[in-house]
Parts: sequence; structure tokens; C-alpha cells
Amino acid sequence: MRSPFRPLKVPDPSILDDHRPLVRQIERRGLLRGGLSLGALTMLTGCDVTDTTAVGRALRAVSDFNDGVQAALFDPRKLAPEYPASQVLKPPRFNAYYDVEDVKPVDGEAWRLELAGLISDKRPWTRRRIAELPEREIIIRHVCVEGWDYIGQWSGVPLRAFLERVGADLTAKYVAFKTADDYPSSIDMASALHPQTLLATRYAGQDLPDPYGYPLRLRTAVKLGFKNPKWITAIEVTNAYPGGYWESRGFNWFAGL
Amino acid sequence: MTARAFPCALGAVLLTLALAGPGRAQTAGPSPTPDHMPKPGMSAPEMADRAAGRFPQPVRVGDLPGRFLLQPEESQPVLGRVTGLVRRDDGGADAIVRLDGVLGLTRLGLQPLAWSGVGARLVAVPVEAVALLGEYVALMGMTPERLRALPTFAPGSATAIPPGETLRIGIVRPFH
Repeated sequence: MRSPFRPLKVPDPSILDDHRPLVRQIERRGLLRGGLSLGALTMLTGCDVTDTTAVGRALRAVSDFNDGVQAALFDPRKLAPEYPASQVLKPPRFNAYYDVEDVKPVDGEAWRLELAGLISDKRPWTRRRIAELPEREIIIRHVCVEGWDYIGQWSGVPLRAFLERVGADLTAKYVAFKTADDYPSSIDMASALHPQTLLATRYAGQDLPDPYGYPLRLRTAVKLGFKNPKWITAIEVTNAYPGGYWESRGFNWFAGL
Repeated sequence: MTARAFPCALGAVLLTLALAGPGRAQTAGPSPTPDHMPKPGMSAPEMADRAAGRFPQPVRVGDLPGRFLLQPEESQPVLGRVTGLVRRDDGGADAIVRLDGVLGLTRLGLQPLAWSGVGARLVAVPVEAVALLGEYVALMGMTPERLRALPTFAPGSATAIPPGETLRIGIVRPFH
């Protein structure tokens, strides 16, 4: 039977003769090969970002460009919305890169906050000395990169007040954190100086419970949740890009809200 | 092989590869159950032991009714809805959970429509078998099959815990 898709009028066969060299180059295998490399490209999104291939470098460059745009758009005077105490979730949501059963509580008495980098007074801080600093409470929305959120009530010393107190170089680029759970993190200086960025020691008026970062964690209203390290043990002010746990696995570094 | 039969045979081979390929991979063996998922047949002491390791946090009893009970897997399916808490004979607490019946709307996430369908029923789940996941509750100490096999709870057959009271319940991180 004649195919219903066959045109009634066929083209002049001489056209084929004119383009014979081109037709010889066309291969079905080419389509397969093209499909394979397209697949490989999509798989790269899950790759190590230290990947040195051209594709890896290109993806990294776009991510860095996005960070630059976010930093340029950031307004250090603009406040994030705050909420009434009646909306606070108690207890808050827990999250980490490991299960809650693997949380290792920190001994608050033995704990010290170490300081490093462009800071003039690098003496370590105890819980008692931190408690003597001026405190601020914020009721803000925690927004996770995974797509969930909740409203939390955090109190502690504003990071700006703390950095001023220890004589940090406020013109430096980065504030970096080390934590007891090996979750390094860092933020830009403008976000560190934002009035809604705290070194939080309490939640809903109580000492931070162990799984939420006792005795000290970062809580900022201007960044995604993963930029709020818990169980902080050291702060460094630096001009060298410090990166972070998820950032070294491909997350955007700026991660602003 | 005739010229017409060849494309047919090729198509059949490709179709077989496409259908059988992933199928074979899936049946290669069960993937290991993640550590946080409930082991079938946990005893009450085992449940309590696991619950104690989840850093129990104070929660107001009045904050629990209305919360969805989630299954601890990546898509976090809704298993039912907490309606209240009651005191057990041994002094512990049970969460009363409404399981969906036929056409239950809870699963669709239609929060304002609390209708749980025809044949919805209540069951009593020990608080040691659940954990707080933000504004949700997750079933950690028993499998969904065991939850659905629990006897129906008769309202009024146990003392309700007043909303102002505070209980300590373990916490858990999201499953996705």
C-alpha cells in the first residue's frame, strides 16, 4: 500500500545530486551522540563544583554573576517583615545535613567563641560575657531553600554591635563562621551589619535548645536558612572568600532574601 | 528478513529495551531503608528509646490538633490529622489521629475542608511514635500499615489532656 504520508508531488531528484556531499555527512549516530552529550550536561548540575571542565567553569561563572547581582540589589537599610508573637512556631523546625539523633550537644560552660582575622581584640568570649552585651529580639520568617518556612522568635546580640565591640574591620568583605558540627559558613559584611542579623542565644525567650544551636548561632532575616550556622565556635573577619558547607556543593553563596 | 519486517523488529527491540531497562534496575534488590524510617514491629520500649534520642522539646497540647501526620519518606504523604491528645492508663500520652476514609480530603491538602470521607475513624498513637516536624507531625515509631491496623478509638474513652498543658515530644528534620 502506498504510504498516506507520501507527497503526491515528489521533488526533482536532481536536488539530491546537487547536495550529495552534505547528505553523506548526515548520520543518525550524530543525533545519538548529540543526545548523549546533552544528557551529560544535565548530569553536571549534581557534580562537584570544583569541576574544572569548561561546563563546570561556565556554570560557576553564572552562579558568581548571580551573587554579584544579589549583592548589588541588597539594601542594608531595608528591614525584613516582623510578625506578632502569636504566630511563632514552638518548637521551631529542625534541619541539618544529618539526622537529629546525630546532634552532638555543646557544653555551654566549656564553650568559647574564638575570634580570628581582621579583629583587633581577639580574646575568646564566654557565654556569661556574651549575655552582658545589648540584646535584641526579632520575630522573623525562616525561609529554607528546600521550600518550607516558619516564623521564629530569636534574641541575641546584633552581629554589628558585636563586631564593633571587638574592633573588627567593618570594611572587610566577609564574616566567616566555624561551628561544632563542622558546618563552615560565611556572609558578606553588608548583611553582617544589617540590624536584623543576630548572634542568637535564645528562642521564644528561652535558652536555645541543643538541636537549634546552643549556645550560639547566627540568625539573619536577610538570608536563606542554610546561611544561619548553629553551634558557632569561631568568627573570622576576612577579605579572602571563605565559602561554606553547601556553597562548596554548588549552592549560591549570597543566598539573599 | 524482508525490508518491511526489519523496522518492525528494530522497533520491538527498542521498545523492549525502553520498558525492560528501568524495570530490571528497580527489581535488582530493595534499597536499604533509611535509618530514620520506622522498623516494622517496634515494641513500646524500643519506640520510647528512639523517641528519647530525638531531643524531645516542650510543645503546648493545644498547638497539636489540626496538624497533619506525615509518613517519613521523601514525598511526605499525609496519613491523617491529629485531633487531640489523651492520657494513657500508664500515665503516658496518646495522640488521637483521624485516618481518612473513602474520598477523604485530608490527603489533598485542603486544610479548610476537614471532612475525612466516608468511614473515617480515630486511632490512638503513642506520642513516642511521633515526632514534631515544624508545623507537622511525623510517624516515626510504626509503619503506616501498623497505624491503619490500630483499633478504632472511641471518643470519651480516655481523659483528654487540656490544651494548656505542655508535653515533650521529639523532633525530626524534613524527609526531602
